[in-house]
This record gives sequence, structure tokens and C-alpha cells, in this order.
Amino acid sequence: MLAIGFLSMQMLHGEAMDTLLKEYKDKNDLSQRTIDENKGHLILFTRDRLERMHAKTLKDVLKMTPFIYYHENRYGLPDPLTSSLFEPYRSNFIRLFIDGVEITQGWLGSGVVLYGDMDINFADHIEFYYMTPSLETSVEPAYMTIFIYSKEPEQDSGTSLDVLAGSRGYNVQDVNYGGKENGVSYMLNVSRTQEKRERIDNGTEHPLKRDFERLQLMGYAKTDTQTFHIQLMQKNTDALAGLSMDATPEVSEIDYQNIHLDYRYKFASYWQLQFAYDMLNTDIRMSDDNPLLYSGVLLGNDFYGKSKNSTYSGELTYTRQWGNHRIATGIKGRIKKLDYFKEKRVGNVPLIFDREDIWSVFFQDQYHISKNKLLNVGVEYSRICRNSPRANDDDLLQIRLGYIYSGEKWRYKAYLYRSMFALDPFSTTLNLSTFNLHKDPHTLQKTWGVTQELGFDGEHYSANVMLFLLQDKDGLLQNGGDGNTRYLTTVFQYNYRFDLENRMDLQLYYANYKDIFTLDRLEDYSGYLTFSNTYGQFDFYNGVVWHQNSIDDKNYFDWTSSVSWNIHENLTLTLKGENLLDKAKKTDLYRIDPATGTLMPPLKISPIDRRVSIELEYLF
Amino acid sequence: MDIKSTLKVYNKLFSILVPNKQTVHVYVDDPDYREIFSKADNIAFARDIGEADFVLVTDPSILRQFQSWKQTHPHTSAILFATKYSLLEANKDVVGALYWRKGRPQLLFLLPRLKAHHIRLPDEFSNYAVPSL
Repeated sequence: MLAIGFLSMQMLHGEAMDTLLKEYKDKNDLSQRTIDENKGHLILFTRDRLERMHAKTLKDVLKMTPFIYYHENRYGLPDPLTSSLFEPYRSNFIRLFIDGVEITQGWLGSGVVLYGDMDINFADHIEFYYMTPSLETSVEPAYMTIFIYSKEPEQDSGTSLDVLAGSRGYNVQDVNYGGKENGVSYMLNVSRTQEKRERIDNGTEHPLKRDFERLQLMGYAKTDTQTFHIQLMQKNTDALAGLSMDATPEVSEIDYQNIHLDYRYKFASYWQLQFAYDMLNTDIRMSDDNPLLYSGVLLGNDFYGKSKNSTYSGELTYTRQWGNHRIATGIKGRIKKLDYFKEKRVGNVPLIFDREDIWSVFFQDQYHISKNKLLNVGVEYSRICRNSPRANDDDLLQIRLGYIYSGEKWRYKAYLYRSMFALDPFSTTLNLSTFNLHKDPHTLQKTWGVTQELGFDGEHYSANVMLFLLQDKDGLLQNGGDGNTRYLTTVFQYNYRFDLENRMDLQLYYANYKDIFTLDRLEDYSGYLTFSNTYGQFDFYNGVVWHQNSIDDKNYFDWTSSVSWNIHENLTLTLKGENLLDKAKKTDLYRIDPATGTLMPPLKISPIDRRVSIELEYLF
Repeated sequence: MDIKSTLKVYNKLFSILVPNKQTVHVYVDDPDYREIFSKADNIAFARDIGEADFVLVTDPSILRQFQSWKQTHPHTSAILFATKYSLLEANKDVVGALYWRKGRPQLLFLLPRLKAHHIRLPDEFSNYAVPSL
């Protein structure tokens, strides 16, 4: 019988309802079911936190996370690790999972390419795991994993309608419906976004554009043993600078169509079988008065191309508790196929290879030294095969050793690991062609890391410190550097709860890089301070995100503020302002002078638009 | 659901809504709540609404059962408490509800309905009681 059986009524009379509800909230939050402390160093955004922030897209959350930030590349795509130079994409080692299944763009790499600014109205909570992702979940190596978990009908049954309107004609319509019948839980979310963004002055009469229209559908049906997901996205974009060297395109547009399907089956107590299918169609329209990047060598000033790639993923895993050992092992595979890549004038564009297979086998043991102490060891071997004699096959080995202590108040984690990374297929193709993005196209990146985390939970507050020491060898996409970067990063978090409805959150981050790009040293600082308050029927949120680095020593401040009027239990009206000071961090977009071939002064672009919006939400 | 924290909240509610009872007889249909309440020494399951001190309304069928019972037993003293706002709205015999709204648990009592059962809430519950929906 639980300890609760010994609680007397006198004790319960003494404990205030506020305190009991706070404990009830913390213990029953849906994130408690999905958090896996063994996956790595966790930064969690609970449902309550996302609601108080009025986070409507993954971008709103990414801009708050340490180590990375929400950046966009020259195509206007979410690319947190972009160098703003000319690589196609740089954030492939940040991997995105929805309800535990990876969303991947296969040939183009990580699912963050398309989903990095997705609508998250379907989401309950988001977990970020840093630096040491669990070998159980990733088919391909990653140094950061983002896990988004959908709402559940037990806390969100029925229908919600959400409409937003904002600056420059920005508007969103969203409907969410969920329920549970006869043991089957289901949820469907459909959203349409018409994003009207700030134009970027490029010194011509035609400023750069990054507007888009998106239709997104997220759905699932599940029982205790089976889960099925479907995700669809149609995104038509103005692609910012696109392939224009000097960022003065005459035409720069890309349309995307994406399908994701997955099925998971748990059987015989210990086994799990999972299949996923991802498909991406792109329609690229580029034109300039000078030869374009990459394609200009052959095609000159225009590129009108279409591509389709399909990715098939499967895994079979076995997980079992044997005494104090929790053993997990399994085999995972992924086939990435470039179905076609054609240009209007030349037809099929020949590439060095058009298929890449990845097969991984992993073993992990989590050993409980005692009730509070856990030791874990894991190893994963991956083989990457490409269908061309010019493209080497690669062998990757990931090794991880970790220790976790979880007490009533104190928490501690430490990891020692070695990871290996290979380029995504598209970048590998470019590497093997004319455009050497790396000095040796067959190099694999190795990263060694020693990471630690210490946390404390008080009655009204929690505090957390993370310290990471990392070393890259033969780093991929180094843009002029030698790829042997060493870095120290540290994060401090402090959360204080005044009561059930009012809280403060503080985060500070510092990173010191040695030998990154062409710099001997780079220091990066960031942080945020947020307040969530409730007075009567009104909820208030104020948050400031701050950035500074040693490149320009400039302070950037992104202030978000919102007030919600809970008119009725089922009806809420919200007024929100983003980047109100218009001082959010800017990303450099580099340009080449076509006449001289030299670098021009970069354009400085904030990926966070200054915007005011009004939202009406109705639940029934 | 977390058993310990859920039982703490419900035991606190029992102490206010069904005071001075060593054992509270609860009528509940939902298997998740039945599993939680089975862990407590001071809770017994009522076989029907007539035996119950406290009826946990988790779906509309419980309300229909109560209405049928009330037709033949108009002076029933059982306290009805809901797990959804819609169930609190649907029937004036439901005195309060504990439910989730946008990631936050909501506790709500209706003062006129409590008054009908001669229940007076302690001051610490003042933030959770409203005169009407």
C-alpha cells in the first residue's frame, strides 16, 4: 500500500489546496510519461509553458533554446546552425521527432528543413535533448534531438478553433479535434498559415521576400499496442536570396509538398516494430541577371527544377528489464532515394549517386546501481552505402558512457561519448561534384564530448547548470576552417514559482569556441528572462531573449509580450507582440560580387519579424 | 495518472465535501480512477449511486444514471463532482469539477450548488468558487 495510506486527514487539512494542485499538475503533466532522462541533457517546454508563451510555431520555441538559435538560411529555411554562407543546409545533425518517430527529408537531411517553423498547435510539450541522444531513437547520428509530443484526448478532448490575424496581413486558421472511443485515441489538427513577413532591403528596387503559405495536417490514431501517424504539408515560399550570388534575384521561389506516414507495433511484451515513409516534392524557380550559385556553371542565369525524394525507415527493437539491467538492442534501417531531379531545359540532372542506405545496430545497457543511481553504456555501428563507385561507403561508430543520479532534490548527469557524422546525401553529391564544400569529400566528422549537469529542486524554485566540453575532428562544412574545433558551453537555468499561476524563468548561456570557421576564437552569450502572470481573467506573458557574440559585440533583445482575456471557459482573446523593440538577433547573409568574385558586406536579417497579432480561440 | 498526488487532491476534496467520514463511499465508473482510489484506505467503492457519498462524474452516462436514480429517490444526499467542465455545465446537481485546461488543472465549485447541500467552503478555496458559470 502506498505511503498515501498513512496520510491522516489532519495532515491533509494542513496542506493547502494550492500546494496540492501544484503537485498534481507537476506529476500529471503529460511530459512525465515521455521524458527519458537517459536520452541526454534535457530542456523541457511543458504544455503550460507553451500556452503561457503563446508559442504558435516551433520557431517561437527554438529561439529560446541555448546552443542553437532560430536562424534562417539564404533560402528562408529554418537552419539553426547556418553559417550564412553558401552551403545548402547546415543543421542536419539536429533531428526532429514527432511522438517518438523521426521526421526526415531523407535526401535533403533533417526534418528541421521543412518543420523547423511548423505550426505547433497540435503539440502538448516539446523536449530538447542535447549532445548525447539516446542510441535507441536515432537511425542516424545527431547531436541534438527535438521531441514534439501531440496532445492527448484525456486532457484535450473535443474541438478547438483558433484564428489569428496580424501585421502585414499575416493570418492563421487552425482546428484541432481529438477523442477516445473503445480504447482508440485519436487526434487531427489542420492549420493554414499565410505568413506575410518583413521585406529585406538589398539595395535594389526589389527587396528580398520570404513570405509563405502553408497547409499542414497532423493526425494520429493509437491503442495500447499500435500507433499510426499521418503528417502532410504543402508550403509555397518566397525563397529569400535563393541561388542569387549577390542576393538580388529576379525570381526566387520554392514550393514543397511533404508526406509522412508511420506505424508502430508493440508486441510480445519486449518488442517494437516501426515503419515510416517520408516523401518530399520540391518545385524550384530561380532567375537572376547573373549566373546562379551551383547551377550557373552549366545553366547560367536560370534554374527551373523539380525533385522528388522518398525515404523508407524501419526498425526492430527489443527492450527488457533483467534484474538491475535495462537492456535495449535492435536494428534500424533507412533507404533514401532521389526519385528524380530534373530541370526544365536539360531534363534529368545526372548526379553521382541517387540512393543512400543506412543500416544501424545498437546495444544499450542501463544498469541501476541503486534506486537513485544509474550507469549506462551504449554502442551503435552504422553502415552507409551509396550506389556509385565514386561515392565511398562509410562506417560510423557511436560510443557512450553515462551516469545519472536522481535524488529527492539533487540531480546529476555525466556523459562521455564519441560520435561520428557523415554529410547528408545532397551535400555529399555537391562535394563530389564541382563544389568542394570540404577539403576531402569522404571525411567523416568525429566528435568527443564530456558533459555534466547538476540540478536542484526547492519548494518554489529549481536551478540547473550544464557544462559541456567538446572536440570536433574533421568537422563537416567548416567554411574555410580546418574542422578541428574545441568548444566549451555552459547553461544556467533558474525557475521560480510564485504560486500555481505566476512564475519567472531565467536562462543564461555562454559558449567559447576555438578554431571555428576561420576564427581562432569565438565567444557567444545569450539568455532570457520571462514572466508569466495571471490576474483574474487575464493572463500576461513577458519575455526578453538576449544575444551577444564576440564577432560584433552587439547586444540584441527580442521582447515578446502578450495579454489573454479568458472571456469564458471556452473563449479566449489574445493580443501578442513579437520582437517589439525590433532589436532581435540578426543573421548575416553573405553575398558575392559577380563582377569581382569577392565577398560583399553581408545583409543583416532578423529571422524574427516584428509583429503584433490578435488571436481568438474557441473550445467546444 | 499519478496515484499519490491525485489521491491527495481527492482526499482534500472529500474532507470538504463529505466531512466527518472515516470511509468515503465513492461511485466511479472510470477504470483509471478506480485503480487510483483502490490504493486508499479511506475509500470504498459504492455498488450503485444509492450507496454513494461521492459520485465522480467522468462521462454523460453517469449523469443519466443519476437522473434515473433521483426520479425514484429525490432526496439523495450524494455529492456529484465532475472531471470535465462540460459535465459541470450540463447538470445543476454537479457541485464542482477538477479538469485540465491548456496544460493547467482547474478546480471549480459553484456556490449556489454547494449551498443546496449545506456545504460551506473554507477560505482557502475562495479562489476556486464562483457564483455562476
